[in-house]
Amino acid sequence: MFADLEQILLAFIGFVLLVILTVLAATIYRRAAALRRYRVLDRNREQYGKRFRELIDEGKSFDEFSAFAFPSRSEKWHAVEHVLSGLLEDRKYESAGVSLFDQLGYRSYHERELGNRDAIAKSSAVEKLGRMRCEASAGKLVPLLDEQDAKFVSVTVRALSKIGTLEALEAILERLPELYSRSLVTKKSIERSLRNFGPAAVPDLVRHGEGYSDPVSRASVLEVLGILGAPEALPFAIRSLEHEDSEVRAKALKAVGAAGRDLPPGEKDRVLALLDDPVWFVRLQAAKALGTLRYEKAVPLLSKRLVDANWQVRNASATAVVRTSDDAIGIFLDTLGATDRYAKESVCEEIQKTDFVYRLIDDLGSPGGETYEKSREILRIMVYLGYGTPLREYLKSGADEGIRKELTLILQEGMAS
Amino acid sequence: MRPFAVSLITGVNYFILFYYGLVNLVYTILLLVSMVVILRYIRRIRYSPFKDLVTSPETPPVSILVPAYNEERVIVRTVRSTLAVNYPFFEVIVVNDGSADATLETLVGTFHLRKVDRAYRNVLKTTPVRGFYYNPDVPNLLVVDKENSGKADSLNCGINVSRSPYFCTVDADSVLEENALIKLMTPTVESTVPVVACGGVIRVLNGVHLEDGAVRRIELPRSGIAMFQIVEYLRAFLFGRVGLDAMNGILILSGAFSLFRKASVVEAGGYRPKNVTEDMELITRLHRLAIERRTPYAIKFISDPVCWTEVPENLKMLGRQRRRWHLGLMQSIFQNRSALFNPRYGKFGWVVLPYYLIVELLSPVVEMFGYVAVILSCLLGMLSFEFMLLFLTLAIFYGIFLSTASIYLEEVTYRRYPRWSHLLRLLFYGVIENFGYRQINSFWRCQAFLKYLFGMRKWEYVEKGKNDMPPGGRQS
Repeated sequence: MFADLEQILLAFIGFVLLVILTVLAATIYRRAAALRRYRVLDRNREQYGKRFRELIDEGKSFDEFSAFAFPSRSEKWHAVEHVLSGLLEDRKYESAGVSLFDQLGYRSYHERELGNRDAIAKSSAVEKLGRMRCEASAGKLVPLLDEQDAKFVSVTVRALSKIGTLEALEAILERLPELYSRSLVTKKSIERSLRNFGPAAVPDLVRHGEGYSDPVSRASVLEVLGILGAPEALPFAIRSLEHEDSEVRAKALKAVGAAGRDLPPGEKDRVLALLDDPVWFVRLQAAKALGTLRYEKAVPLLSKRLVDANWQVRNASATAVVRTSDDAIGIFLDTLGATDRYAKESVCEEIQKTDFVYRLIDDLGSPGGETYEKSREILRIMVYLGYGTPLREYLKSGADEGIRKELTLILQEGMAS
Repeated sequence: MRPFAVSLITGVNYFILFYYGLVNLVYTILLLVSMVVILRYIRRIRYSPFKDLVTSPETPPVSILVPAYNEERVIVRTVRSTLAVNYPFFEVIVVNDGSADATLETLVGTFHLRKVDRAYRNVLKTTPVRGFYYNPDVPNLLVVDKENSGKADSLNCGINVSRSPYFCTVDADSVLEENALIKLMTPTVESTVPVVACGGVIRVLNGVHLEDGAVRRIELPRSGIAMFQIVEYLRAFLFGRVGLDAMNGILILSGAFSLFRKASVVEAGGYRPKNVTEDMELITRLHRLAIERRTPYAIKFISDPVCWTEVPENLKMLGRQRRRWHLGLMQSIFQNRSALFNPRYGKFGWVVLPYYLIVELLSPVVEMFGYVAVILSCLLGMLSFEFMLLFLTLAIFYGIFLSTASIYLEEVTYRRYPRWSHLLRLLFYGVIENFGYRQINSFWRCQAFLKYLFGMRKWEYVEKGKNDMPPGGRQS
C-alpha cells in the first residue's frame, strides 16, 4: 500500500514541480516581454508626439498624417492613441486631436468594439469614445443607457457627459428616474457627469427638473444647478423650496444660495422660513444660503440657530452671523448669556473657528465703548468655559501692551468666576 | 497499549492528509479566483473614474486618522505623506496616544501648531483628551493629545473628533501613495450597495527611498526577514484577500490602511479596546450587524491602492507581531462563535467564518501536530522514512508554488519592483521561505494558540524597521 501511495506522491510532486517551473518561466518571460513592449512604446510615443505637434503647427492636411494609420492594436497603433490622448489635454491641439482620432480610424474601431460581448472590452470602448469626445458617437452610446449592468451604465453616462452634446444630455435626463429606480447608477456618478455639461445645460436641466415627479431626480438636478450657480435656474429652485421632500428643499436652498445674491427680499424670506425646518440638513442649507445671501433680516433667526441641536447647523449659523451682521458681538453675547453650558461651549468653539475671537481681542485696544464692554464680557465667559487658549497665546506673543494687560485681568476674572 | 497508539497515530495521519488536501484545495481555488478577479480589475482600471473624482465636489470628505504612540522617528514623514494625498476634501487627525517620547513636540514644532480649544463629544467613550493643536496655515491638520490607552481607544477618539462621513485609518509608520485614498474611495462612490468598509494593499516600506514623505524609488531591503515578508504580503494581499473579496467574505482589512463609513462604525459601537487586533474584530462586527439588520452592504478589498508600511527586521519583533495577529484572529472568531454555522448568517456563518477557523486559525496547530505525528509514525515503523520525505517534499513544493504564483500575479498586474534584480531576489526568497521561515511562523502562531488558552491576551509592543529620517528631514 505504501508503495502505491509513494507512487501517487511522486506523481503529485512531479506535477507541482512542473507547475513551479512553468510559473517561474512565465514570470521571467512576462518581465522580458513587458520591458521590450514599454521600451518600444515609449520610443514611438516620443517620436510621434513630436512629429504630430510639428505637422499640426505647420497646418498640414490629413494626407500628411495618413502614414500614421497603423493596423489596429499594434504597438504603433497604441503609441499613436497615447499621443492623440495627450493632444486632447493641450488646448492648442485639442480640436486637431479630436479630428485625428476620427480620421485615423480610432472612432470606427471603438464603435465596432461596442458590439463586443465582453463587458470589460465594451466598457473600455465606451470610455475611449467619451475621452475622444467624438460627437458623432453620441448616437451610438445613447442606447447603451438602457443596458442592465450598473457599472456599464455609469461608464456610459460619464462618456456621454465628456462628449457634452445636448443630445447626450437629453438622453440622460430622460432616463434619470428609471436609472435611479433600478439602482443602475449612483447619485454621485450622475451629478458629477451632469456637471460636465456646463452652463449650456441649465435650460434642459430646469425643464426636466420641473417635470420630474420623482424627488430623487429632482434633487439631483437641483444639486447640479447649485454647483453650476445658474441665475436662470432661480425660479425653479425657489418653487422647489416648498417641496414636500426634504432632500429637494435642501438642494433647492443650495441652488438659491449659489446664485440668489440679487433676489428681492420677498424671495429671500422664503429661504428664511426654512431655518425652522424640522429636518436638520434643510436648516443647515438654509443657514449656509443666508450666509451667502447676506440678508440682514435673517440675523435674529440665525442667532436662534446658534444653539441648534445639530453642530453643523450651529457652525453654519455662526459663520452666517459673522458675515451678515455688524452686531455679531451683541448676538454672541446674548446667546452666551441665556443658554445652557453645552450650547455655550458650541458658541465659544464657533467664535474660535471663525477667527472672530481675534476681532474680540482687538476690540480691547479701544477701551470705553459699548463694543469694548461686550467683547470683554464675551472673552470673560469664554475663559470661564475653558476656551481661553487664544488669550493665553496672545499673552505670549501679542504686541499691544494695553491688550495684554486687559487679557491678564480677564483671565484672572474668568478663572475666579 | 501499542495497538491503541498505532490506531491513534494512523487516524491522526489520515486526518492530516485529509486536512492538508482540503487546505491546499481551498488555496488553489482562491488563487484561481484571484487571478481572474485581478486581471479583470486591471482591465477595468482603464475606465475607472478616479481621476474625475479628484476634482469633483461630489467626492465625499474623508478624515484620515493617524493614531500615534512613541512615533517621533517617523510621524512627520507619515503626516507629510497623508497631507500630500490627491483627494479633494480631507482632514488629517493625528491622535497622540500619550506618547512617552517627543511625538507631540515634534509635530507642534514641525507644523507650527498652536493649542486651541475644541468641544469634544465623547460619543465613543475614550480616555480624556488633553488638548487640540492646530495651525490655520495647515487647515486640514489637527493633532489631538490624549492620555495613553491603546490604538483602539485612539481611533475611537479620532472618530469622535472627525467631521466627515468617512474615515481612513493609517498607521503612524506608514506612507500613502498619492492616489491611494481616491482609489480606495472610488468603489464606495460607484457602488449601488452601501460600502461600509474598504481596504487597500499594504506593501513593505523597508528599503524604499522616500522624499518629503513620498515614495521616490522602490528598492528591496537588505534584511532577509523583511524580504520574506514582502513575498508573504504579496501572497496575502494579491490572492488571499482578493479571492475572499469576490464573495464579500473579507474579515481582515489591515488597520494600516482602511476606509470606513463612520455612521456604520459608530452604530456598531466603534473599536473595542480589549481586542489585540481591533480592526479585524470591527470588520467581523460590521458583517454581523448588517446581516442581523438585513441591510444590504459590502466590505471591499481593492488590490490597487497602496500604503507602504514598515515591517519588523528581527525575529523577536516579528514573533511578537505574528503572535498578536493570530491571537486577534482567535478573539474575533471566538467572540462571534454564535454566528458559526448559524443559518441566520448565511454565507458569513457557513463559509467565511468556517474558512477563517479551519484554514487560517487551525492550520499552524495541525501543521505542528502533523510534524510530531509523522515523526512518531516513522519511529513506530508505521511509515517509511522515504514516504515521510516525499510527503514533506510535496508540502514544501506546494508552498513554493503558492509563493511563486503570487510573484507571477504581481508581475502580470502591478509590477512595482522594477529591476531584474528585484524580480530574481523575490523569486529566490519565494522558494527559500518554505525552508524554515514558514515553519517558524507556524510555531509563533501555535504559541498564540497556547497563550489564548492560558488567558495571556495582552498586546505585545512591536518595534519595526529603520526606514526613518530626522523630523522634517529627507530620506534621499
